[in-house]
Order: sequence, then structure tokens, then C-alpha cells
Amino acid sequence: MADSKLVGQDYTTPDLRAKVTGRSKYAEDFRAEGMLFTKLLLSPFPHARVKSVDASAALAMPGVRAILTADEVPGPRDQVSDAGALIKANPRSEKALTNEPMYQGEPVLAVAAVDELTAAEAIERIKIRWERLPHSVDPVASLLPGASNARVEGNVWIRPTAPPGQPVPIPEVMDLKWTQAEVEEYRAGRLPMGKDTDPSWSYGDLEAGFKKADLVLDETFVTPNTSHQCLESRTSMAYWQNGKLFIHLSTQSTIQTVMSVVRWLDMKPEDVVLISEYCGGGYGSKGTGSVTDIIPALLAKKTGQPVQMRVSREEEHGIGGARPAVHGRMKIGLTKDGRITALDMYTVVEGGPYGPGNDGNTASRFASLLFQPESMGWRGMTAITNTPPRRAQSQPGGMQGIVLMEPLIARCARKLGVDQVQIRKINAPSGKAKFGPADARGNRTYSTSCFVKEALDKGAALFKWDERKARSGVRAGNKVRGSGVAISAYNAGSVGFDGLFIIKPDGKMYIQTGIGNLGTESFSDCQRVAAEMMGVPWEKVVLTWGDTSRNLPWSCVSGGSQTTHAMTRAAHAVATDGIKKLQQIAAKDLGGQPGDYVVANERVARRGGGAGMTLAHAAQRAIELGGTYDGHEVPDDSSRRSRKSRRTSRRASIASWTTCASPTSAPSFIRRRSADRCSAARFSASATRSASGGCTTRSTAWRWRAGSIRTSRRPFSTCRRTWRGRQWSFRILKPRSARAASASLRLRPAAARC
Amino acid sequence: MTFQEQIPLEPGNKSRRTFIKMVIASGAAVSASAYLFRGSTLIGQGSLPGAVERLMSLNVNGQMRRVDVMKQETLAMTLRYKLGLTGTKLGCDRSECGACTVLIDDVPHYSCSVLTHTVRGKSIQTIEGLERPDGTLHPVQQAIIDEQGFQCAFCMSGFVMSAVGFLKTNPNPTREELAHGISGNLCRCADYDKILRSMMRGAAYMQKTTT
Repeated sequence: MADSKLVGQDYTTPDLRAKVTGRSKYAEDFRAEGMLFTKLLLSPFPHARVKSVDASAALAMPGVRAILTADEVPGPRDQVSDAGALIKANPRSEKALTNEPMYQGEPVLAVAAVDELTAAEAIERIKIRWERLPHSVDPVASLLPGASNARVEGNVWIRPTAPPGQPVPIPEVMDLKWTQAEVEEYRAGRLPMGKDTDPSWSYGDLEAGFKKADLVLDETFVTPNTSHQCLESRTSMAYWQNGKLFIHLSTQSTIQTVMSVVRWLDMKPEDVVLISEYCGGGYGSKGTGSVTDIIPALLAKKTGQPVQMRVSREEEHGIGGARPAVHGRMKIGLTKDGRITALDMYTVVEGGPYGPGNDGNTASRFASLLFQPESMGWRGMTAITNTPPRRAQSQPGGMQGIVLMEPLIARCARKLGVDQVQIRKINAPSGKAKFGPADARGNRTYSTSCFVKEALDKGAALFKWDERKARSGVRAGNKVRGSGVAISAYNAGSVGFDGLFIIKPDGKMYIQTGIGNLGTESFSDCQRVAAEMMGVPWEKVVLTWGDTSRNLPWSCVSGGSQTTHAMTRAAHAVATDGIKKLQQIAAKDLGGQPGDYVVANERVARRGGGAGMTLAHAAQRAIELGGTYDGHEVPDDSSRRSRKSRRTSRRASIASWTTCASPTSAPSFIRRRSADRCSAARFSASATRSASGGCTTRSTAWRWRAGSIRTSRRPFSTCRRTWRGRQWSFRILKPRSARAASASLRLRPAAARC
Repeated sequence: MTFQEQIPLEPGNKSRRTFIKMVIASGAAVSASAYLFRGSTLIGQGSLPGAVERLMSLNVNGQMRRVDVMKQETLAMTLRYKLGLTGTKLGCDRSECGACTVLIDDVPHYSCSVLTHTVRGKSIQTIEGLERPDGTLHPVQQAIIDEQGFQCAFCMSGFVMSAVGFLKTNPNPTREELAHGISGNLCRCADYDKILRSMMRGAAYMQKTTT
């Protein structure tokens, strides 16, 4: 797109000035008249049951308005999957509050009071009689005979497969222990591979693959759990007006989060107004909000007043969730020249207390994609632990797959004497490489395009791999530096989303988007394509996002790095439809065929010059024509939610075009997970400078950062805070030391310059 | 419980009556937004030994703001919940992340760990105070816009205040010096490279405007 005016060009995103001046409002920045504050009572135990609650002393306190217990939280409702199948709600899934906390720090009940201190004090005065239950925090140790289980019913999830056409069965829990032989294998440092409860998969002939191999390695690895620690904790605020819930929260996706809230609260989507214009980071943990977001909504209903729940950093450690650790054992076979002939992979996912995790299975698919073993099998299970709930985190499963595979590949290369870049090139996928298991019809998923070999060549040249390799492992003083190579991908993508924009007689293009604003700027980037196609300069585009009362179309979940890919297609589809309608309007008024007209430079005009009209004029004509031209009629394949938006927007909008982004003519609110596209997803939609740099590249370990800054220069605290019970206690630093610190701050840089 | 009832009598020569009048004159922002630290007698605030004067004047972004402050109240709380300056963010509330950084007499401080009553008579600058009334942005802010320097931007105001404070002491830093200067701030998106590029560009803009 050499001649494109918007796509591929730098621009300032519409949210940036508000961010840079401090005017952007995140969930915690909202206030409402008469607002109450909520504090949570967190479980002090990793696993326990609430026997009785005595809240009389708390409720008697002046200023305390209400208490909310787990019994008052509605259970999650059944869902309908993207493919239209019924998914029964798992009664063992995470809830906002619980009477059987499954990890230390899990919310048990909530108090609403006139201010936070009163709420915190009320929490202190609530007496709970607990029954402590056995617990387990190590997924692998819980498999040892006689070890305690994380759940009363058992320690691992079983995920029965559904017969074709049947609803997905609810995962069950079973008690699984190793045999004595397996225990001995574990004690010898190898993860026993005998037990698996997830539906396993394989392709090729593993046995023959290992027989053919010149080198067979069998290794056990483990990846760490990593807490998300979004800088903005998952605060939420809610109030009710005329039967509608208004909820401010922190989420990666806007319109999709409505559906979560609706499911958690057992409500209708049209009764929820969700506001989230800015989100202080999610990294997967806020994909469609957090279940605790509904606590203020329930308390607001109970008290009739707005309620805010500020989630503290301490609370965030628990309810914020974490990436699951994956314990893995891989048996790999290679020929002398480095080609992988067989890979037998086994994983145990540390799943936390709620629901089976997919990270193990996903990890195996990445191993299959990136290293293309001639034959491969995967088995695995999710073990239950009394640790914070596990959520998706940047490249969920993919990251663990790389961490499990790359050290193994590196070791194979060393043993075989093959270059580290070469061994990856030998096994790299290319073209329409297949990966993972075959589906019911015997077809394997494939990538639409991939250029891993080219990337490795380019990377090796840029990094001067050959030079670097020679320096690797050389000791310099007390340090040894090593150089290595790793490859990575993530497959995601979905179709069936809607674009929505309106051109009004003022000549401006009003684009609505249901995409969340989590900092990747995809909510804005994707729309550049629509504006480009409609020939409208960006200055004349008014973008609406982040408030579902403002008629937002059905958009994808902003997770898995798919948004720019999925929603650029929606923008493309809606603009294609818009152009078609403009051509028809022009042909009606000015004669000729619709195909005689082109849309460019804010006009629809005859090809090669001649009669035409401005978009403003065309919009006026669209209102007069009505029907499909002004949005009174919408395509049948647009989603139900978008159509609702259209109905409510009719009075406000004058001429609107809606369409669906489905690439086929299939009914699109049956939203299908599209085929995996490994590299296509990355390159197809590079609309703007900020389109890249999405979720996948970030992986700061919070704790490591926090540790590393201790030695560096930091702004000052003039008091020391210590957490006593539920309140901070303060000790003011001596003025002299504070002054000395200020003085040193001023002087140090000068001294450094000398 | 009304707002006035909680104001302790000043030990000096002001009568309760004149004191209350003064409070009323000080404006609605003080009384309307004091949700968080209502300073309620609910939990015995105000009468504890060692209590300090509750009503104080704060010099924030060049304006004198009257505000009712509890003795254990942090500056971040006062700024965000009483003065409505929500540009200052709370990431950790315990001097780890730097999202709450503000300038106190031109020196960056973690406002979550500064007690409001200790900044009496000092000049406080927050992110909201950088933009000029005519809409001209501070060079560091402009540089961020030009570089698209942050992602979720929850850490942004802290970084900007740290950088602005640092550039006052070292207007022409190397990238390493600047990295050191803003190392008390964390970005969970790990956007440090773009942040540093923005801040360096900001420093260059400042050089240009001063010369």
C-alpha cells in the first residue's frame, strides 16, 4: 500500500493526550454522589470452610451499610460457545465470593461502608468460625500416595470429551495417585508419564520415530508460575439507575466483557452499561473482566447507593491470578543431522483451584508448530492446588512450550554438534506447515504462511551470530556470558465480528468500536483501514470506544494478540459495504451504474472525473433514501448485539452502514474460531506504528523488577509505612535525613558529570 | 455527622465559629470529595493524642487549595480523593512502583509514602500541572505524544514527573543517566525502551526551548 494515506503511517492515537495530561479516567478515578466503599474479607487459610459468620458487631458500627456473603452471589450461568454449543456452567468454577476458600487471600465476604477505613474496621470485627481443610500447594507432590488433596473430591481434573453434537461436559475432579514404581521414578528426577486425564493426541508413528533416531534425550523441566501484577489493580465501581447496571471496571475488552458481567450476574445484556475507556494493563488476566468486578454491583443493588471496590496490591496478589506453571517431560529423538523424528511430550499444569488449564496442550501445539517433529504425541493433565487462580498470560501456553522445548533443543544441538541456528532451521516450519493433531475428518491444522527460516537467517545476520557464538561461554572476570537462539510464535484469531460507522451530513465519519483500550491501541489502529478506504482524513474521524451505552458493535476479545488481525478485517468489511452503498446512492442520483463510481478524497465521483457528490451530500441523500442506506435495515449476518446498537443509535445517527466481517456468507454471530495463522496474523494488519508491540512481547517479572530497583535512585518517601493488621502505620523519617536525601539527589548528577 | 463537627478547635486564637466560616469559604471541593478519609468520628479520628491541625492549605500546581486532612493521610490520597487530581495513580501504595510520583519543591517523591501534613508550605506539582493554560504541553509530554511512548499508561504520570524532576537537576543527560534517573518507576508493559526514547526526546525539546 505504497500510496496509502493512513495505513502504515504514523499518527497520534485519540487517547494519548488524555493519558499524557492525566485526564484519562481509569476505573478507580470515577466518583459518584453518595458513593460507598467496599473492603473484602480474605481467607487466611489455603483451604477452609466457613462454618458461621457473626457480623453483628460490624453491622452495628456507624457508617457500615451492608455486608455481602457468598450466598448472595448468583452462580455463573451456562454459556453458548462461539460455535453455538451449550457449555454448562462448571459449579466448581471461580466465584466472586466463596464459603469454601480454595487459596489464601480468596474473598469470602465484602462490607460496604461510607469510607474505606470504616469498611476495613468492620471487616476486622467480623467473626468467622472456620473449619480448616487439607490443602496442597504443589501439583506434583499431590500425586504422591497419601499426600493431601487441594479439593475435598480430589487433586486432578478430568475433562470428558463430548460426543459430536453434544454439549461440552462439565469437568470433574478425581483423586489420582502414583504407583510405587512411579514414585521411584519421580524420586530419581523424572516426571512419571503414566497418568493423564486430558484428551491426548498424537500423529505419525512415535515408536518408529524413536527407532530411527540417532540421539534420544529424555528430560524433565518445569516452568514457573508468574503473577500478572497489572499496575492497575482490578478495581470496579457500580451503580444502578432505572433497573440498569452501570459498571466501571478494568478490562481488556469492552463489548465482550458485558457478556461476562451478564453471565456472572444472571442479567440481560441490554441492562448493563459498561464503561472502560482505559485499562491499566491486563496481560491476559483481564480478558473479559474479573469475576470480583461484580461485588460492587451486588452491594450497590443492596444499598441503593453507588459502591466502589478499590483492590489493593495485596489483594491483587491473590485475585489477580497467575500464569500456570507447567511441569513437563519430553522424550525427543533426532537423526545425526538434527532432524527431529519423534517427540513424546507429557505435561502437568499447575491449575490453581478452579477449572482445568489449557496451557499444557497449547504448549504441545507450539512444540509441534515450531519444531515440526515427524511424529509426536502429547498427554497431560491439570493438577489442582490451593494457590491463586490461573489465568491466561501473554502467549498462554506458547511461552511455556518455548521454555520447555528450547533448552532441550539446545542440548540436542550440543550433543549432535549441530549449530544452534541450524538445528532450528532444519526443523522450522515453512509455507503451509501442518501442526497439532488431526480433527475428526482427519485434517490437520496448518499455518497460512510462515517464514521462520527467513527470520532465523535475518536474525543471525543482524545479531552477527557467528561472531557471537565464538564469544559465548567465555569467562570475563566473574561473569560468563552465553549466547543462544530461540523461536516463538502465537496462534490466535477469530472471525465473525462487526464494524460500525456512520457518515453524517457534517461530512465526518463516526466510527464506533467495541474493542477494549488496554494500551495496544488496536481500538484505534484497526479503524484506520476503514477511514483509508472511505477516503476520509483522520482529522474528520470521530472514534467512540469504551462505553457500551454509546452503541458499540460486537468485537473480538482483546487477547491472544488477535485484535488487530481480527478487527482490521471487520473494518475492511464495513468499509467495503460503505463504498458499495455510496456507489449506489451516486448512481441513483447521477445516473450510470454503481460500478462507475469511486470513493476517494471525501467524495464519491465518476471514475476518471465527472459528476460526483461529497460524502456529506451522500449522507443527506442516504437519510432521504432510508432502508439499508440509513441503517434502518441491517445485514442479517451482523450480530445480535450490533443490531441492538443500531436500533438504539437510529435516532442519533443519521446515515449508518453496518456489516459483518465474516469472510464467508455463513451466519456470523455463530462466531467461529478461525484456522490458526501463525505468521499471517502478525503481518496482515500492520495498520500503524503502534499495531505491533501487543501483548506477546511483555513479560516483566514484577518481583524481579521490584528487587532490582532497590539499589537504584528512587523518589523519596518521607515516612516509612508498615502494614499492621489492616491499616498502615507511619513513622516519619527524621527531617535531617530527608533533607540530606534531597540534597544528595540534587548534587549527585552534577558530581557524576565531573 | 456533618463535616463541620469534625474540625478540631485550633489551639490558637481562632474561635470555632471563625474556623467553621473559614472552612465554608474554602469551597465545595473539600467537603464534597472527602469520601475516603471522611475523618470520621466513626473510628475515633481527630481526638487522638498528637493530632495535628486538620485543615490546611496546599500549594498544588500553583494554586492554593484548602483541604481537610487526617494525620495519617498520604499525599496521594489527598491529591486523588480530595482534590480530584486523579492523574496521580496508585499502583502499589507502598513505594515500589512509582506510579504516584509527584514533585515536592521540584524533587520527585512517592506521594503514597508522604504524609500530607508534612508538605505544608511546600510546592506540589502533579501531572495535571504540567500543561500550560493555553494547552501547550510540557516538552516531556509532547515527546511522549511524538514517540507514542507508553502502552497502558497507568505508570505514565509517575514516569513523567520523575523525568521532569530529574531534568531539572540534569538538563542534558545521557540515556544511561536518564535511565538511572527514572529507575524508581516501574512499567509493567515493559515499554522501557520507548519510554527512554520519549524522555530523551523530551530532554532535547527542553534544550531547544531554553536556547
